[in-house]
Amino acid sequence: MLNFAMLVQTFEMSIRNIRNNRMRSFLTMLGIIIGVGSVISLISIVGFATRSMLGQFSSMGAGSLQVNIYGTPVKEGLTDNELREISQIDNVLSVSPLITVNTSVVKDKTIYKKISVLGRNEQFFLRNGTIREGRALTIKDMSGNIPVCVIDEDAESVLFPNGNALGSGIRVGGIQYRIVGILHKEANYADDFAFEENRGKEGRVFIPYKNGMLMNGQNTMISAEVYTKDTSRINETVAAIEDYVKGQFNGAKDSFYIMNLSSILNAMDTVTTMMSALLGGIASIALLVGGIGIMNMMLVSVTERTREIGLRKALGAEPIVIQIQFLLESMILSLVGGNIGIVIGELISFIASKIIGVPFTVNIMAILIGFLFSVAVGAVFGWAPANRASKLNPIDALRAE
Amino acid sequence: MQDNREVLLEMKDIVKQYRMGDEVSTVLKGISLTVYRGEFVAVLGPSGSGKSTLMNIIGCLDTPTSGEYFLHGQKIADLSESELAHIRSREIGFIFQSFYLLKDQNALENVELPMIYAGASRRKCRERAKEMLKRVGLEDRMTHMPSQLSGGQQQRVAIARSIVNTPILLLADEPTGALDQATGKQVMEIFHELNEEGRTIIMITHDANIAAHARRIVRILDGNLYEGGETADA
Repeated sequence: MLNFAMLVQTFEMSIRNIRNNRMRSFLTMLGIIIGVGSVISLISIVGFATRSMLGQFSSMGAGSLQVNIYGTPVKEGLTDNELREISQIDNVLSVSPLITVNTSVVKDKTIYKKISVLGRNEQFFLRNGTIREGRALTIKDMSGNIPVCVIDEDAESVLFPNGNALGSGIRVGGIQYRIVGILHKEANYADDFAFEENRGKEGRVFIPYKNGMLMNGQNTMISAEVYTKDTSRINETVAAIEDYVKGQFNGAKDSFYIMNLSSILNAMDTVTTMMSALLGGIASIALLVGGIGIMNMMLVSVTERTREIGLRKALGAEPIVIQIQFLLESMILSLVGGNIGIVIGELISFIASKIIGVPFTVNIMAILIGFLFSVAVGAVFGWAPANRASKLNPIDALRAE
Repeated sequence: MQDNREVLLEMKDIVKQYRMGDEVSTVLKGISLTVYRGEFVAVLGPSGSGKSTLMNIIGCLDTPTSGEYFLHGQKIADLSESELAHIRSREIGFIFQSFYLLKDQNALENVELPMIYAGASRRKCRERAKEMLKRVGLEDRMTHMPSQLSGGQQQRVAIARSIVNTPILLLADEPTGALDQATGKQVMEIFHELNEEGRTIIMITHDANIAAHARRIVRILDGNLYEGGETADA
């Protein structure tokens, strides 16, 4: 006879049985713990690694390319003229040199080593972020000897925590610069991560590119951002730029390389999907093994408790009640094991996030999947042993060792 | 002789055979037995006589190869597995030689078991179980585990368990077999009390001294039943 009270009692009995046999219960759970733990941590780690890699490329928006020069013994980089010629290639909107200046910002006798100093032209500010206060650098600032700069909000909060950055002065490369604008970058996840140029994380100061080149002692540019008009034609634009630059370097193909964000993102997407699928497969195997472990232990449990089953049947337990009791036990075991696995998995992924260097986030989907899987595994793999238990003949069972 | 007593149990020509490979062994060779309500019957026989098999059939744990068995007017052969389980929890109380208590549950939890399987509410299970343990004199041992109880105490727990659902029939298989003389006597005392209250008891044993405690003795030998010993009027 099956009613709610009986179900509750059966549930309590299952819990009691689990508690009374801690060692056996723990061994049973081990497979699920490992299975779920590995699913959670592996999925998280893949996610973190992907994001860390993406962070490096996100300084470029869609439709922008980055031309990077390795150079040849006779030619180190591109000249102003060459950049101008590139900007006149079909489908190219504009070009901005990318200069990383080897110097530090100094203010009130404090050296800020973690603030990057970057050289840009006026085109850069048209495509990256918005000016919150003041103005961007203009073409008039590009003569090479005007000491004005734009700082971003991170640098602002470090250098001028009490405000009043606009119009104030900082020393860059030993020269006094006046701040003419504050750059606000739209929030996107890339902001959280280290830029390729911005390992410092404390902010960026933008100066006219020629100033930066002077400070570095370089007379050609080895890196530039190219903005396109029509992103659907980006492949032919890349080819056109490649032809031109190759020509300038006397046909040396490996003297430069062009980074195309969208194709990189596409490739990464494919790789990520494949990796996730692979990991999913591996993790499923782990879960399968965990399930087999549960089934094994439940079978052992049934054998060990044959006499007990016989007794329960003699006292009036219907087969269905015995089946439910053992099924509940295996489901509770795998649920508890699954929860422990989730906790361990999140712990591992937390440690991984610190090692990889990305913010720790919790993948709710993975947790849900882990949870559901453990319940399912408990039910599926516990069913056969429970069924066997319910079909035991009471007299034979009672007579068993 | 007209009998005004109520028939509790009626077996007609019960045969039980086992097939072992090619051989067929007949353990019960056509047993007929009638037990009235309120009787205290001992089934006396040596080992191998088939008395355990007989008890299993009476207790609805096993089905005969042929023959009819009526318990309280119900034809047992007609019943389904779950109906049989129902009868075992509600109508029959079992007392085994080796007590058969669940080792990982305390006395109270053990006694509750038949009530749980009969579908009673939690509170009722607790109350009845406590009552029954008091009845057998174990009220201060209710939360003890079987390992903390002596043989006699364990058997008393088993007895409490067997009557918790007020069954119509108590079946005892060598109830004192694992106990010493003195404790065995105590247990038989309880049996007497229970019988005096009107409960029907069928006791299987190989010990004539124990059998003598009953009011009626039937002997079983080689699968056949022989009426022997006085039948006291109920």
